[in-house]
Amino acid sequence: MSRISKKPGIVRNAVICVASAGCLVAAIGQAAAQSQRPVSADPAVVVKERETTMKSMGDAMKKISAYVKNEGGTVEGVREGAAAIRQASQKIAPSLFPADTGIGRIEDSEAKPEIWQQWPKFEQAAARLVTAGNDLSSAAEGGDRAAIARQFAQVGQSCGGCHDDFRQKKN
Amino acid sequence: MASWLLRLGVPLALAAGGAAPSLAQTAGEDPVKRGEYIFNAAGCLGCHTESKEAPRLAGGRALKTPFGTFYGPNITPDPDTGIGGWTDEDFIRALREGRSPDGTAYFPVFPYTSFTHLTDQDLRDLKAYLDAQPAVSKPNRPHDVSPPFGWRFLLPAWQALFLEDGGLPPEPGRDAQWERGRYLVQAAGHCGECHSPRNFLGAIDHDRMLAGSADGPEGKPVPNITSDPENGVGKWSPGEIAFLLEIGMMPDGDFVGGGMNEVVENSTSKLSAEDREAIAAYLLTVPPGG
Repeated sequence: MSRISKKPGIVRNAVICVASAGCLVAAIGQAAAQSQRPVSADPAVVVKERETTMKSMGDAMKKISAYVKNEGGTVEGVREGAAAIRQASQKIAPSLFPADTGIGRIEDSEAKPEIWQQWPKFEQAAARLVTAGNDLSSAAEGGDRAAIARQFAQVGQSCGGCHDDFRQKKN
Repeated sequence: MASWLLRLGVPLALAAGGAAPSLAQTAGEDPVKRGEYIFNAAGCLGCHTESKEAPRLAGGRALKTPFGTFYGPNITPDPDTGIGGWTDEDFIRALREGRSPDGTAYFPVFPYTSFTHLTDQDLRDLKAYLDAQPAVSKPNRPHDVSPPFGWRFLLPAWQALFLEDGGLPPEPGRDAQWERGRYLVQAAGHCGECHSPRNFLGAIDHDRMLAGSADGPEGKPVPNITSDPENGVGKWSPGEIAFLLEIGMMPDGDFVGGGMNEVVENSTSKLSAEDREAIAAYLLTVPPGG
């Protein structure tokens, strides 16, 4: 009787062990997804890097728009631009917006306090751009002008939507 | 720039508003369809819908101003909480004179100082469109305005001082495209409501029309969009202005924010390419001011 009763105990312990390991892995995954890895411990350097990254996306959008508007751009330029947006957009939430780098904290910052007050919403907005950038890359690989134009507009809406809520441009 | 969308034959999700290619006054036989175009040109959705998840046009959107917080009212055809049962004349008086059917004056946060210039036909079409939308029962939220600005009985005096009705005056030497652009900017689009400075009584400073505001909605600065080459859009090409209105991109590849992206999404992207070009042509003639 006692031998029989031990078996379920072992099974139960094994289940608990596996489950908690799983939980632990999940918890680490969660933490990694949410934790910030700022590009520098110096907020001024972070803001500088943020501006450079945003500018790089602007340059890329400009390049892509030249193709979409038929004003001298090439599909090759669209591919390069889309790759730049993909790369830059992935940095936004994890490493470009640590706390205390917004308006009132850093001179010339245009980052509204809503970013940190509504962090999950901000992360979502950034994730929307990552997805749109990936889709633009795929469209660029396909080389279909109509598909590129559609995805270009999607990326633009992601940029503008986030700027509407989270950026206050200096005048 | 002729619309690149048309050249591509691509109805972008953004631009697929079903906008007729011609001016609202001549865009077909159906008043509801024509009214939809005016509705988009006037950007009514923004202030009259609380959020993307909320019932459309049932009101509740908060607009913070230096005078207090206003809440957009319900403009669905619901007879008790919306504008159901209004006659065309009631509607025209509201948009042109800033008065409700019972004679109460509206706060000028409702841009009747701009809408007063809308044509009779456009106002009737707009009402036909609103009448065709689903009724939603949702009571209006009272405005939260500090005295003396919250004293509604003072509003008729304000209107006597600052409401200039009677349509936009003709200007010699201007073509039809310029006039259309002015109508879209000054009357329907009410761009000057955010893009112009106001005096201490909240009236737009007409000498500095569209010259930007340090104190726009939410207390934030709004840019100068006059022909000023340094502070405004004077160095932009008409195509660059039209492209901003279509998808929100500025000439340097940056995208607008601060509420303007919403204007692009709800309003200017749904206009015809000709109308966006008309707006660009008009803005490039607006004197720098301020």
